[in-house]
Amino acid sequence: MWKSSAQTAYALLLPALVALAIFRLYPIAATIWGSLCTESFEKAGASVFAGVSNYADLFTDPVFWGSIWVTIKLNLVINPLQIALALGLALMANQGFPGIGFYRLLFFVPIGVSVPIASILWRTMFDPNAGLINSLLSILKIPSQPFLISQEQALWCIVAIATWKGISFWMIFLWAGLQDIPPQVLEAAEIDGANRFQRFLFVTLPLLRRPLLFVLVTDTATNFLLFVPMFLLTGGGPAGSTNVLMFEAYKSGFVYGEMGRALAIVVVLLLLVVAVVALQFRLLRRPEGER
Amino acid sequence: MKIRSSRFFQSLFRLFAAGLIMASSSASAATTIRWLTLSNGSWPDSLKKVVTAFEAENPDIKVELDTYPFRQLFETIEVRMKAQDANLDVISVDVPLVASYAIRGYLAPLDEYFTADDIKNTWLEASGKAGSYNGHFMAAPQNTSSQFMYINRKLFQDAGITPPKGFGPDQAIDFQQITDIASNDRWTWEQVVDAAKKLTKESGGKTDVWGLEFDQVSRLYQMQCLGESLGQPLLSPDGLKASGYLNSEKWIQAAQWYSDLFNKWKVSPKNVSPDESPNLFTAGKVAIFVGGEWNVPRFKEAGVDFLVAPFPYFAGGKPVTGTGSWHIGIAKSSQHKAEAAKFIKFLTATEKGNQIWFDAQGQVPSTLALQTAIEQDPQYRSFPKDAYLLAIYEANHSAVNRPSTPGYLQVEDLFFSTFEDIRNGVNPKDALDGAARRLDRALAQFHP
Repeated sequence: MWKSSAQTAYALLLPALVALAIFRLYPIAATIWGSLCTESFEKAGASVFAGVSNYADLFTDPVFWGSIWVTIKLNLVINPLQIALALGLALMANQGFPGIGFYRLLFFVPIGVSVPIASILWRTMFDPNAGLINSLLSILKIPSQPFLISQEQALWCIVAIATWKGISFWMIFLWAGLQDIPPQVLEAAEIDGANRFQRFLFVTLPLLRRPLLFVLVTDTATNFLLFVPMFLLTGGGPAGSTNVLMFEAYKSGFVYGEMGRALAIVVVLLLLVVAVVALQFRLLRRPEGER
Repeated sequence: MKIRSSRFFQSLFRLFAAGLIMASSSASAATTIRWLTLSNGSWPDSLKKVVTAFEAENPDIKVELDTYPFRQLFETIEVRMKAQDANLDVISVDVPLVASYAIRGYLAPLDEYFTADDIKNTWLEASGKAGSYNGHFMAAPQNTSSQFMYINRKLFQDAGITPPKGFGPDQAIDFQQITDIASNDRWTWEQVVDAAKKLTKESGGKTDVWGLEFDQVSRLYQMQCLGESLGQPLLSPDGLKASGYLNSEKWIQAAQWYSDLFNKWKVSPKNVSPDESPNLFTAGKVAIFVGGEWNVPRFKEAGVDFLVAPFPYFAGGKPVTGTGSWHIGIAKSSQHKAEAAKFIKFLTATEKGNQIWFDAQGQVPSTLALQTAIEQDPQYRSFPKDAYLLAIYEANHSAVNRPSTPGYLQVEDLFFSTFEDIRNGVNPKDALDGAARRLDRALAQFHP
C-alpha cells in the first residue's frame, strides 16, 4: 500500500518520534524558554519575558561559580573512580573459581538499596558523635572525624556514598562486555607471549571499548545530576562545599521561588553535560580503519 | 461465546454507571475544602478535632487535610501555588511569609470576610498586623508563640547548681509573680554558659549530658533573638538589605557566641536537627533547653522533672523573644472561597474553634478573648498551665516579629545554612559577610 519503503519506515517511526518530541524535546524547549522569563511582582507573580537577564545575573554571581567548581571537582574524581572500581569488580566477577557466586551476590547487593536509604544509612555511620566509622577509627586510635559537617570532608563522603551505591550497577555492563570477548583472542595473545597485564591492556581493554563508552557516558550524566545525598545529608553545605549545580537549581526553584534562575542553571548544566559527553565520544572513538 | 461476552460488558457498564451516579450524588451533598498544612507531631490530630467540630456545625462542608513535614510544606506551597492548583482551598502560612505569598499572588485577600474592626477586636495587634500586607488582610492568625528556658531539675541537682528562678510543679504562681521573675531574675546568656559548662558531662570521650540546647537549632526564628538582644535587627527597615545588618559587629558577636557553644565550650551537640532537639531534653540528655512554649505539654507527658524560666538575654542588652506562628489563608485559585473563609473564621476567630485548637495543641492563642480568659482563670495559676502567663507576659514585653520582607524565603534559608555553617566551625565573620552579600543579591529583585 505504501508508496515507498522510506514512507513505511517513517510511518513506523512516527509513534517513537512523537514520544520523543513530547517527552524529550518539549521539556528542553520549555526549560530554555523558562530560563528567559522571570516573575513580575507588579503582575502578582506572573511570568514575563526577561531576555538573558537570568543568565547575566547568574554569570556575575559568585555562588553560581562556586557551584560550577564543586560540580566539576566532584565529577573529576567520582567518574574515573567509579569506572575503575566497577572495572575491577567486573574483572573479579569474571573469574571462575569455587564460591565466586557468593562474591558476585555481594557485589550486587548495593543495587537493591535505594539512594535515599543508602544516604540515611551512611549518615548514621558518618555521625560525628555516635557513628560507626568514628567508633572504628577510635579503635585504631585515630581521632573522631566530622565527616559530613566538615567543609573539607563532606564532598568526599558523598563521593564514597555514591560510589558504594553506583559501582555494582556499572559493573554489570562491563562484566557483560568481558563475557563477550572471545577466549581465543586472549589465548592467541598468550601464545604470542603477552603477559597478564599486556593482555588486559592491549586485548581486553580495546575490546571493551563499547561497553566502556556506554558506562562512561551514562555514569557521567548520572553523576552530573547527583542530587539526593546533598538534599538529604548536607543541604549543599557546609559553606557551599557540596552545593552542586543540580542542588543550586533545586533551591532556586523550589525553596526561593526563582524558577527563571533555576531553569537557567539547568540549561547551563545541560550544556556542560553535552560538552563532556561529546568529548568522551571523541576520545573513545574507534581509530580510523578499525571496524 | 459472543452473547456471553456482550452480557458481561453490559453488566460491567451498568456497574460503572451506578458507581458514577453514586459518586456524583455524594459529591453534590457536601463541598470538600482541602487544606495544605503541617504533618509534624500532634499537629494533624489536633487539627482533626477542630475539623470534626466544624463539620458537625456545617454538614454541607467537609475539610480534608493534605499534610507535609515542616520544610517540605514550604516547597509544596511554592510548587502547587505556582501551578495554580485548583484542588487547594486553604493554606497554612508561616507568618513571615505573608508578604512573599501576597506579592506572588498565592493568597486571596480576606478583606470581605473580616472587617478592620473584626481584626482589631479579635486578635493581638501584632498578630493582625503580621497577617496583613499592603493594606489587605491576607492570613488569619491561628495562634502565636513564645520562647522559654526549660531547666532539667534533676541534672541541676546532680551537678549541685542552683537553677534560675522560675516556676515548676510544686508552687502556685500568679501573673504578678511571673512579671517579677521576668523583670528581675531573668538569666543572661553569660550565666547560662557558666552553668552549661558545669552541667556538661563526658565519659569515655562521649558526651552523656549536654549543658545547653536550642530548640530550633540555627533557625532564624530563634537565632534572631541573639542579635536583637544586642540591639541589632537582621535586615534594613524596608526588609531589602542585609549588608550592614546581618554582618554588623553586633551580629558577628552574637554568631561568635553561638559558634563557641559548639566549638569552644562544647556545651551543645552538633549534628542534631531542629526536629530531633526536643527529644534530647525529654531523654534527660540536655540540662538547659531554650525553646518554644509549645514544648510544655510534651515535656510534661514525657515525665521530665522540669522548671520553666524566662528566655535569657545578653548582659548589657535587652530581653528579646521570638513570636508569631502559623496563620491560615485562602488559596487564590480556590473554587470554594466562601466555604474556606467559613472554616478559617471557625478556627481562628470563634470562641469554640479557638478553644478546641488551644486545648488540643496548647499554643499561645492570638485572640484577645482567650488571652484575657487565661489571665483571669485560676486554673492557669498552677503548673504547667501557668506557663501561659509567662507567654502572655513575653508577648507584651519582649516579643519581636521576624523581619517583614517579600524575600523571606531566601532570608530564612540562607540564614539557616549560614548558622549551620557557623555551628560546624566556619568563621562567623566570613559566614555572615558571605550571607549578607548573597542576601543583598537575592533581595535586589524586590527593589521597587
